[in-house]
Amino acid sequence: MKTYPKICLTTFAVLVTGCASSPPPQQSQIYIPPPTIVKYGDSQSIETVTADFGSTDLQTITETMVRSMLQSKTIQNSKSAPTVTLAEVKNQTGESINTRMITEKVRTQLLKSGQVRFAVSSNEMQSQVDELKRQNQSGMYRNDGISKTGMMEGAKYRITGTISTIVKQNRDMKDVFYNFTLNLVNNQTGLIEWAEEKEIRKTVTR
Amino acid sequence: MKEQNVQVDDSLGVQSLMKLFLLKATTLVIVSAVLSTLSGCTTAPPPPSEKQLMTTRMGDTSAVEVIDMRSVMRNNILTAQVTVKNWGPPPNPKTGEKQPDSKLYGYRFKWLNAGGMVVFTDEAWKPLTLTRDQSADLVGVAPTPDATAFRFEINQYK
Repeated sequence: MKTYPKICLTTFAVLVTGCASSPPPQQSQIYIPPPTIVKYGDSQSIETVTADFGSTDLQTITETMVRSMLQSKTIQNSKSAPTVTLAEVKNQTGESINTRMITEKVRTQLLKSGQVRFAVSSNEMQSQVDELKRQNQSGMYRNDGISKTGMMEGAKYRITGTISTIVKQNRDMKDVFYNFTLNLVNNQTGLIEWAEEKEIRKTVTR
Repeated sequence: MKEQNVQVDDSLGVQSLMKLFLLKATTLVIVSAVLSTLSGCTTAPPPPSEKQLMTTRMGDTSAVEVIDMRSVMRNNILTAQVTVKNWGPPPNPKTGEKQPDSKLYGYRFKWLNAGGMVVFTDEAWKPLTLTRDQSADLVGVAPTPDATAFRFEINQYK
């Protein structure tokens, strides 16, 4: 008769301790980061992460500008591929945009077309001068193999441009309007021989 | 009299046989004609049009129809123009109401030389903002004078 309550008590105690044996893990103990997945994507795909200037805008702008410039009479009516240099693209937006990326992409695509030649830009002039000095003034090179000074070719045209935005937003919506213009200026005459613009509208809604 | 009766009976049997034969032959001809017509209908579908051959579709782009395609050499550079129209998704089968197209599309051109080789790196996909029943003329300019032909690519990216 006495054994029955004892068995009941021990069973109850085992059950209670069994339930309370594993306390909930505290957050401060171990941090397990969420699993990360790395994969390659299509570099040409449409990117809509935010309304800020993105890769699709860069690619679209560059394509439009280069194709339009190639069709211009200035380029096509030249007897030989004209020499062009990169000047400045002014960033008149509130964003931090690497405009050098735009001009260099324009230069690469124009060079790949084979329709123009590029002279070094003012930004790259220092390295060009350093290289010529090294070859001509260091006294370490054979005379018949060096690139001589005073033989550089001046650019007939220069590429300039601006990127600007109009941003409007309210509680539910944000509208960003980009306007990019590019000009081809004749260095000798100062005439703008070609110009093109590209407009992009991006909206964000909540 | 008996002979006559027999003769009449014989003539009646031949006539009915002839009628039966004619009926069967007519039925056979009609059935074969119907079968040949049906089999004619179920032969291979018509060959794809030039527009279909020059268009590559990715994802669900069935609502967007390529209406027109043309190209011209301008200052030694190939310029292509593709006219597309978004017919939108099919109307609601219960109410018959037209539904707005919520899909987002992108497009690009692929430029080929005379030998059919791709002449430049892939273009970026450009967003195509087309609401229901809206059409657009998409113009592409070749990146080099080597391009003599083009293909139009359209995809659904969202």
